[in-house]
Amino acid sequence: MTSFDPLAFRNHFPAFAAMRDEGRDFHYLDSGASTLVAAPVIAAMADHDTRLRANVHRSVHYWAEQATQAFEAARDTLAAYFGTPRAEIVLTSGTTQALNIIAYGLSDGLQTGDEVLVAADNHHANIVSWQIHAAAKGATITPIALTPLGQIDEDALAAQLTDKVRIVALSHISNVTGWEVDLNKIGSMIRAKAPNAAIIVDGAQSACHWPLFETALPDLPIDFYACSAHKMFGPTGVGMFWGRSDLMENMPPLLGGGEMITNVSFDGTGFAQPPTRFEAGTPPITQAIGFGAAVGFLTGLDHRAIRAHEVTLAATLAATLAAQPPLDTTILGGADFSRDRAPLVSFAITGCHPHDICQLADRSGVAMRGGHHCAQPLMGHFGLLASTRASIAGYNTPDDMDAAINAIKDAINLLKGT
Amino acid sequence: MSSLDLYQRDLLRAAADASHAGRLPRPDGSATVNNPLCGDKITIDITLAPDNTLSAYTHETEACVLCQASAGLIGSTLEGATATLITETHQAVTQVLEQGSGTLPTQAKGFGIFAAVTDHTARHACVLMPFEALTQAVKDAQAKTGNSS
Ligand SMILES: Cc1ncc(COP(=O)(O)O)c(C=O)c1O
Repeated sequence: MTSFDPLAFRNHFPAFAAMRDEGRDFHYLDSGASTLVAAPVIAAMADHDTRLRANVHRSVHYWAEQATQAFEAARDTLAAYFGTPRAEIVLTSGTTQALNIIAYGLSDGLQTGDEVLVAADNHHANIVSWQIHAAAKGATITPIALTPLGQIDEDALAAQLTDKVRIVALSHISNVTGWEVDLNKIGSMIRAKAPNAAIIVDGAQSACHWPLFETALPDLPIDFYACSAHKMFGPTGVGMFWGRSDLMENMPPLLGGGEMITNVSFDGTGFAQPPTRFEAGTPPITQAIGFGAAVGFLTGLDHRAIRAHEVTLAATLAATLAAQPPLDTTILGGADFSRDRAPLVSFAITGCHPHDICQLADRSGVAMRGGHHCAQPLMGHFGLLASTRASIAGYNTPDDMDAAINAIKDAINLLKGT
Repeated sequence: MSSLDLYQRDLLRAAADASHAGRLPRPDGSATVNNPLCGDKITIDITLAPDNTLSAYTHETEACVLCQASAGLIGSTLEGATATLITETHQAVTQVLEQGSGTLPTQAKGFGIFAAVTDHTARHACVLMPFEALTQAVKDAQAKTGNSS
């Protein structure tokens, strides 16, 4: 047993009191899409917009100075959380924009004959961005094969690694199965066999519990890591990436505009150094300040205790669903949550469509996601078009699991007419 | 409107109606439509009579109950329909979804069950997917047979 108390943890999230006041059943099992927002985040954003609303890096008045300091303080908080130099943290609108900036910038150096390896369990953000930018340079995009459980097939990957591989795009934690990639192990293998490859990691599902990995990003054998605040108890509209400065130096910017230049003339324009080079235009200032507050909140948590709690719930849900013979249920990635796995329970029930299950579960206030989860190649690997996903966070309780199980059973009874 | 109203008996019955499920051996026109939100897929095969009416229709559907019901209802109500009636029904069903009511052609009154979907905007595409596929299949058939309405 852990000392973690999910009901006390709920006090950090105003949504619970608000739903109680509205008299709504509220079993939020969609944190893999977006977590709820923590109270300190809402407070920091409201305070900033109330007292210090101004653009950053421009004007010299008090409010602009304060806004700039708060914005840059958020960058400091992120750098401390991930253990990186502050100049290697680029603020973006989210993981998707981050991965597109990276893909565009790194693709500049690619040519015909170069290979881009993309793990087949990736979210579309880490697939399509390479298809757009790397393919335009003539590089070949090749999927990295998966095992039956949906994990990277290490033998297959080893056979794919050559001098020609210039990019390897990995997902740290699958947003469908929850399986975690051992970045030390896989990254070292890539470094040894494909020395010309830059390793890009989608961290959207792992950033919320970064302290669990007990390492600084630059100490891992990877080169870039991207994430979004809205999956970290923070606001929408902001995210970041970390990148090694020697690689970022040579990357052209995807977006041009204000702030990201040294000088502009019709004879030629100079680009600013990273991270500014990749932060064109007015950044999401209020959101970045909220992001800083979210990461400050995360820094103070006992991540081991939270993960133990979450995984216990996930294992119970998966085991209960898998043990219902009439349901004919497949748990994507298997029902074993005892190792290296985030609390995402994706399942498919023969004859019951995920959208119908989710719509019917919504009647009992059970919020789950049905669909392909922006991971169509992974769905294809499992022979499915779609699945239902219950994603669990620290504020979930055994009561939420009971509600989900009952709602799923009721949905099946209705859909199968039993 | 709650999702309780959404999954009424009539809708479940229409979804379970397999009488037009499958593929035609020699269709005049075919079309496949995917739902980008969930990856669902429907393939429709049709034949057109010389007077341009829908003489045969089948659907192969990997999708939710709403899409299946819509595809099933097309089979039970629109076989024999003219291309004009198909277009009118498509428009009327779109209106039913957007406004909760609309004037459905007499033959197509059954589509009124989808009024319950109005408040669930994310699901409108599920109901309309078979119509999109049917419209494309009709165009495909007209292009191949040289007929047009
Ligand atoms: C693994 C993974 N990568 C990328 C993304 C995209 O993140 P965003 O939509 O915040 O850009 C998500 C979000 O669903 C995700 O789960």
